[in-house]
Amino acid sequence: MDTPEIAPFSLIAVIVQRGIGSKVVSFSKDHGSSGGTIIHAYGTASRRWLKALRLDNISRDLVLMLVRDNCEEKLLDALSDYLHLGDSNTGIAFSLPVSHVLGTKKLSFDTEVTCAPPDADEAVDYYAVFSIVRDLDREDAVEKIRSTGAPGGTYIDAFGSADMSRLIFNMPSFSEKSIIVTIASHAKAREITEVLSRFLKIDEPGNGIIFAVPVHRVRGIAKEGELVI
Amino acid sequence: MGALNEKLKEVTMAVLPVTVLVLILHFTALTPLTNAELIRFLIGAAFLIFGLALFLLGVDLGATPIGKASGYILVRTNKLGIVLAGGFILGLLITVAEPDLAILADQIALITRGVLGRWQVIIFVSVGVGLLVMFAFLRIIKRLSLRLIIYISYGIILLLSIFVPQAFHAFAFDASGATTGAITVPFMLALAIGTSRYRAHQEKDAAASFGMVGLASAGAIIGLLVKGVLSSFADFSAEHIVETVVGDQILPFFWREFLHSAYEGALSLMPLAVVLLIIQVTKSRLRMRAVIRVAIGLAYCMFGLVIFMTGVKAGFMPAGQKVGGMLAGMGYDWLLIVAGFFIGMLTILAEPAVHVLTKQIELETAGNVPRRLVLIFLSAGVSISIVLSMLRIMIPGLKLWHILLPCYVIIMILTHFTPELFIGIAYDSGGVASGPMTATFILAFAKGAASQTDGADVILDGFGVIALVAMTPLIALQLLGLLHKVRMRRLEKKQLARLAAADSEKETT
Repeated sequence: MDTPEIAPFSLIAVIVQRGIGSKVVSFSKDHGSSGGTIIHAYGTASRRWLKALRLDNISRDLVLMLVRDNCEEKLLDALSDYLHLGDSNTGIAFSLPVSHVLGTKKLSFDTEVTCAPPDADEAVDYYAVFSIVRDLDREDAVEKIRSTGAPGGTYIDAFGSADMSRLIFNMPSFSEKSIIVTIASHAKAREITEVLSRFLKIDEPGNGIIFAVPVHRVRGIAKEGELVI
Repeated sequence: MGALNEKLKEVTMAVLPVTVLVLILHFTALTPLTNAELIRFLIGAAFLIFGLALFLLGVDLGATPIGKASGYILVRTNKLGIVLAGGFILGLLITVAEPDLAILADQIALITRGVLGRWQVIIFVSVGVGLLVMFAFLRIIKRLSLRLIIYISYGIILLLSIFVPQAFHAFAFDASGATTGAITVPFMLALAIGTSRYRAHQEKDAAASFGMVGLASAGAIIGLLVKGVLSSFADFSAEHIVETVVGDQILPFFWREFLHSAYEGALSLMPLAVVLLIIQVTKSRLRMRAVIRVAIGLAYCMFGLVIFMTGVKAGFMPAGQKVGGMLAGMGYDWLLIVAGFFIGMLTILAEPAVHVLTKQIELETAGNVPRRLVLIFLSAGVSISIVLSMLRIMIPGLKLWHILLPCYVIIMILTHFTPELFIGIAYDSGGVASGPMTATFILAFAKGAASQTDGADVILDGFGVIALVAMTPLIALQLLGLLHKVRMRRLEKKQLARLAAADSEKETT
């Protein structure tokens, strides 16, 4: 692969406490975003006694926004100030590179775009790891992710199927899944994917799927490899 | 405190309104409570908030996953026979253990002088629920129309009603409310979702997730009516039950109610524990971590319910009875009606299963049917049912069927026009509205009012209150469905018009 291409658009994802999502969208609209989509998600707290009492699922909002590259960094910094992302337990914001955007301007999928080079100092060091697992495997999966030293993850309820040919009462069967999103450094991301794929026996169909996307910039991480969330 | 904090915030907003209402009645000197009563009421309110929060947390962690998993496992067998048998057994099991039904059965046994035994009532109702839950499964899998099954069920109910004595109507329709208790409703909602989720999610499939609770309620009515047709009665007598005198005790009273609630809570959680055990011996058993989570969730459910019920019985019930009695004793009929209207409207917000259902509706329809809207219509429905109950107490000639028959005729007509999704939601909310808050606080209010009204009978007029609370939401939420339908149609028309405009623009250029 040559130098990674970065389109003039980035996808900014913000994970905050439930209810704050709409504030994030309206704040971002004043700072260059054209709008946002809010998804109901859940965070997993890592404090031990909360875990022991199973009070560790905290409602969160996951906000997705497409913004132009030239205001992406400014917006992330503004959000970081606004939401105090430097403090613990506030949230996290990160941006992912996007190659094509439709809907905000009259663009078609094949529209050529000029590319900005990635910043040297903030170049892809983090990855967003998406693990789609069976709903009932979620808790174990989050534990496995934690065992690598990563702080856990945010998850979204979903459902899907790998095998459409298996019919149940003459309908293709679907089952409940969870999408776990974890932000991790390169080394951690590697460890997570390895541990998870071994645990889930990921190569068997229907057990899940894992993929990672390089993160452009991230706010809400205090030290190397440690999320503040 | 993480997840518990979230629930506490949500629940406080639900319990405060009715608490404030009673306090307003107290401080405006309309219905002054004694100091002991007031303290008990306030402690009760605190119990309500904490208990309800813990209970709802437990539903998320324990009851809902078990329900979903059992539906999912049954459907995965791909054998219709197993699915139907499983549905029957689950419906039967959870109804047999319902504490509200046991209380109702005791009262019926007392009033019919033992012609209907306690266990006879429980068994007939449970079998009725089991059968209808079975039909609910059949409906989901064979994609039958809910409307059709409802018409058939209520047709049977109407037919059976003709052949039983009038007072029996109250028993049967109350049974529908009593069977769908705090634990049953979340479990059945989850069961329906687990069963219908095996196929791709489409607009139409959100409808498949609702209706099971409503059918279970109909099953309870049918079960008891069948028993009524089979038995023969001389007459009903309303024996006076000696109410325990409470006096000024506070702590001992709470302790006694706590012990009683603990037994009932444990009893109603039993079926879910049994189902969890059964799942663990099948091929599709859950991982250990999931089992622990569910078990802890069930424990939360139980403790939450026990604390909640203690607060209701020791704090709210006596206050409700006192307020009802004093309002009726003043001699202004309109005052009782207005107070009943507001008590119905606000009490329903604190009903545990209402939270579960409204949240489920919002989730399943992806926010298309907002929670607040459902709550508003539900509140309106219940407040009208309390007004009807008050009228029934004041007017001796007004029999229960004088209200039930015309209202159910309206309901059946509405069902013809309501979209399938809202039929399910409406019939489910009927069972949901008649939960523990209705069975205690509202019933105590009505009984208090009846005790101070000439020509009213505390016991016979007490029966039928739950039946009305379970009925009016059917009207209110089907109206909401019609409103939704009209709105959607208007939106569609607008969109079509816009498309047509765009087309004609294209042609001209």
